[in-house]
Amino acid sequence: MLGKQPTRNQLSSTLPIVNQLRFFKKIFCILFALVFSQAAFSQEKLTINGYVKDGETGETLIGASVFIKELTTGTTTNEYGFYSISIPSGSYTLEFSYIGFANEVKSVNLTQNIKLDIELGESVKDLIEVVVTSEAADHNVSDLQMSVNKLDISTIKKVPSLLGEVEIIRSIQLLPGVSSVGEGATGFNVRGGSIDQNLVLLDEAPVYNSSHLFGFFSVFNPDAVKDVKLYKGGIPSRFGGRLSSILDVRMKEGNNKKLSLTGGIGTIFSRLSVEAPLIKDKASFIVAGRRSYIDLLASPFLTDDLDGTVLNFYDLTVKTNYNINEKNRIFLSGYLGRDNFGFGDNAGFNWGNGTGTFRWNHLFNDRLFSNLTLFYSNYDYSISFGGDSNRFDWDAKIINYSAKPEFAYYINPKNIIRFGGQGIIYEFEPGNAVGGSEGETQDISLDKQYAIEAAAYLENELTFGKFEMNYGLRLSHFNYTGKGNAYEFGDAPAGTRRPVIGFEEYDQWESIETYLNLEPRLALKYQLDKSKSLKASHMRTAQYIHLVSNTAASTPVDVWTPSTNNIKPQTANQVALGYFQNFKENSFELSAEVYYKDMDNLLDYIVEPNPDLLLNEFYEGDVLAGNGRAYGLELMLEKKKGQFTGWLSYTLARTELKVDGINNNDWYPTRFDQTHNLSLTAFYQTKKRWSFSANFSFISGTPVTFANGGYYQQGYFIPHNSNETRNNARIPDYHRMDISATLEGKKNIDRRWQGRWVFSVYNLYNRRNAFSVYQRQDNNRTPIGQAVSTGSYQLSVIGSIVPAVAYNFEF
Amino acid sequence: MRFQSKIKYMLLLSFFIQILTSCEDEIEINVDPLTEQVVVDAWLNNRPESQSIFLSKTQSYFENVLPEGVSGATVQVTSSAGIVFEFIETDPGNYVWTPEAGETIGDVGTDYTLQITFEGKSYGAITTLNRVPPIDSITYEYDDDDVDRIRTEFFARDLTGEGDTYWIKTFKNGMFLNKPSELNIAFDAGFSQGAAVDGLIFIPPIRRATNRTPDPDTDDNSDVSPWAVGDEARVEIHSISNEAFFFLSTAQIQMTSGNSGIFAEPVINTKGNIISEDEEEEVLGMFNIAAISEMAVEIQ
Repeated sequence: MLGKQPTRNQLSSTLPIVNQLRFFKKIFCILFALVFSQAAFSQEKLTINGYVKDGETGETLIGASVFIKELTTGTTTNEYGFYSISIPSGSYTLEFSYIGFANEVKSVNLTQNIKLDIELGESVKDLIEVVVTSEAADHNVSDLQMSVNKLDISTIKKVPSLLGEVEIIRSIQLLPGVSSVGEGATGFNVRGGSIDQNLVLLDEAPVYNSSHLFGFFSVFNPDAVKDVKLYKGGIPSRFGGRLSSILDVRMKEGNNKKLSLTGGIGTIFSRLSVEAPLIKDKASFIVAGRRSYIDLLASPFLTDDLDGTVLNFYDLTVKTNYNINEKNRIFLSGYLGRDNFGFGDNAGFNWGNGTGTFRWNHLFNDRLFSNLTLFYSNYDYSISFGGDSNRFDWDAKIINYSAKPEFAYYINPKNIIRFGGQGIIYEFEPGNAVGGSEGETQDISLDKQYAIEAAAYLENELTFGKFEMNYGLRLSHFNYTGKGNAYEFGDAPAGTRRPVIGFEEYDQWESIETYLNLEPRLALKYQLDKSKSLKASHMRTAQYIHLVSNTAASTPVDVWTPSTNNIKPQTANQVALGYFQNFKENSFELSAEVYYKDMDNLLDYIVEPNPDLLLNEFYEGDVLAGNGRAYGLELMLEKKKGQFTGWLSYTLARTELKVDGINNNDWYPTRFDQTHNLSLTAFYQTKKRWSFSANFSFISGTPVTFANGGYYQQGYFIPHNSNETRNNARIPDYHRMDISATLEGKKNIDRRWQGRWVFSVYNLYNRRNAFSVYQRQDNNRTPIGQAVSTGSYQLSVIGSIVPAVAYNFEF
Repeated sequence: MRFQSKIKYMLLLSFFIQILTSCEDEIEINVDPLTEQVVVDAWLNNRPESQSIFLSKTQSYFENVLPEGVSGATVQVTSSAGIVFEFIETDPGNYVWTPEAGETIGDVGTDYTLQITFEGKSYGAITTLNRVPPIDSITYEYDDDDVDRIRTEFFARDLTGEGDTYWIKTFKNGMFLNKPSELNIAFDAGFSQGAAVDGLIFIPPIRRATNRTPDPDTDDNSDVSPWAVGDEARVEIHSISNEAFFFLSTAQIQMTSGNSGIFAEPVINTKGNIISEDEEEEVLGMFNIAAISEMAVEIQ
């Protein structure tokens, strides 16, 4: 079957499921064979492996550099802090380094396999004198991966933020290629992808709604986060399931040397986290919690009719790990967060995520590292209002269970093979609702939906001469199953509701529709010289679950839907080219990338009548499929060393959709299309206790749709757009500057309590940036027989300067 | 859809506006030039009274004037029983059929065709006179927490069988509550076709939408009770076609979406049921004939 080279279309449409599975198995067997044949060639080499850790807390370090001076080659630690290098026997000098830590140099006489765990000490407190060798700091140029941004949590903590709250999602919006519908909107958009095209992972478990308070704050507690990495393109084949990006957030493991407390008192949240060893150097835990107290602060100011209002949000992050022995380590982590809104006794609204992850790192041998992840993730909301006899209760959720085995085989420093797979069981509850009217109730709940997603991947990282490449293949399969009804829809004019013409009942786990996609991935690097490189990448991605949302900013009540017999998986192809250069001993990093992304089967919604997407069992008839294209140029210049650091990021981009029945079937810009997006982020560390930071953003106005006319019906003035265009105008450009100053407590070695004051001013020059511009009618009553008064307005969500003070401490 | 928008108003926006320092400024924007289109405003009923149809054209969004009528058209409605009702122009654009004493346009279940000819072109539409349930009662009560506030509620039961659509109009001392936010329509006993609730008493948010939305900037603001002792509260249920329901549902979202701020849905056009003999020409507006049930109470 392989020899026939079936095309993707044949695969996804004509092969019966049995053949698909056979094909799937065969590929997997071939990949396996490949791995072990490769392994056979390299038996005469010896291996050094181990973990690189923070000497003070015992936290493993992700992406630490291991460099062998004699061979001028090296590797970096993986997501679990593990490295493995196989080289011929001999005497070597190994240098371990990680930004912010002092380098560690080890001499090794390699006559047999060696296990070498390294604990790096923090560099001398005076940050200015941090010396990092060029080999360690040139990752911008030397890493194979392009279109990846890594933000240290220490950097994120320095970025000035709204109300002084350290914010992960808002910080990544300062990077090239990342945009948003507007200030305070849920989620983020990467290279023209909608917000549901980002796979947001918290310790490998997906988080379906990454926002508190509609998007002003993210669900990640900065005190519990170790590492944040955003993949915008050239995504390795070990990741999949979303079209546009992977946001990989890794939690701290917890200090395994001593008890430590971290906390803070801010304007919105109070935070506290505790980490401590359970068994010194073997097991530790971290528990981190936050709770907002806007409700407590706001209650005196609420008007009478808002009395009895509840408004709070909280999150709790826990993690524990146990180092069973040299070959086995397990982790257990969990997250629980919720936003609560209540209106008196009779109405309430809440939403939140819950995730749980179990991971087991196992070393099969010195070169074969494996990780098995089992996770559970849930997002749900519920709304209720009304009294006893007139109650309305509504909830919806998405639950998934997954197993994900992953293997990395370190053949030699120039050849690494990774392979693995993933299985996910999805359970969708698109809406359970019971409405009561004068004691009679009616259940208008929708059927649950079920689906199984499976994937297998193989990738190989190879270096030959000045070339380095990672090529891989991901095979993904989606099975939309019963129990439930599969509806068949008839034809309708483009852009209008399709009528239901039939349905078929399916039993539990009986397949309704299946999809198969081959996702080739490729990353290439050509090292021009020590400080310059060229990189290129291609990726094909497929996405089987979709967020159904028809509003400018997504709301917490938007529902996820699987691909069904009527909604096809979204797919994308992206190519990117980049030039990377470092200057002045890696003090400056420059990157320039261009990308082009082509997307199919993107979701849009009917224009006649207004789409009915919630609690509608026939919602599929209101969903349209469209094509998308996104292209752009991203520039980033970063200064990494010295008292003065920071980065300048600029994106020139365009994102468009084409959907039959919308905008006269022509291309139109998406709601989050931003032509220019510039941000400048700067940090200044004085030699004393003060440090300062500032950032400036300039963003072109996003498009909106305006009516140019209107007409009267029964005294109502109905807006009308005679050209039937979508996103036909733009809101004014956005720009803003924020600053902050941090005062460290007096250094006193004998005292464990370390305090830090953060003073920040958000929107320094008090600009009223428009979140949206819209037309509306007078909210006062128009006397019968008079003309309705209309106008256009701009809404600023944050319309003033916002100063804040926060106090943070460590113990 | 109205379900979604109601939920969003009730639950999300009140908070946004109250708690965050959001603010709104009036600005000027440039819009694309308008292509004029013919508008037919033909909402009739089967009461024994004059029925009128208004013909006009679209106008600029920002003009803030009443539309000018289109004169010189011939307008007639024909029932499936073969009766022709001639509508005669009384004022510019206003075409009226005046019944004989006790005469009505017809009974529930009758189909009607509208035909309009002017400027050498013909326009038409068809509709059916649908059934309407009786109103059982209108109640009023003092707000639980607030003795100064009187709220009304009407009770009626949706007719059994899916697909009945209604427009519920409330009149305060004879004055129609005409704000877009007060537009109260029902699909069976509930908000929308998707979340259909058939054969029940109308759900509470529909029953209680008989209370006016306060003005932000006039004396009729939120400090004033929606109803006062001595007021007459009259409620009418008009049967409307499914097409008319979707028309009003979309129109309401379009008229009020500016208030949704960051959760606004895209602007789309409200499609009516009037068609032109010229397939290229799009005509706006709605032709509907309603049966009406009504009840009035005096607040004491």
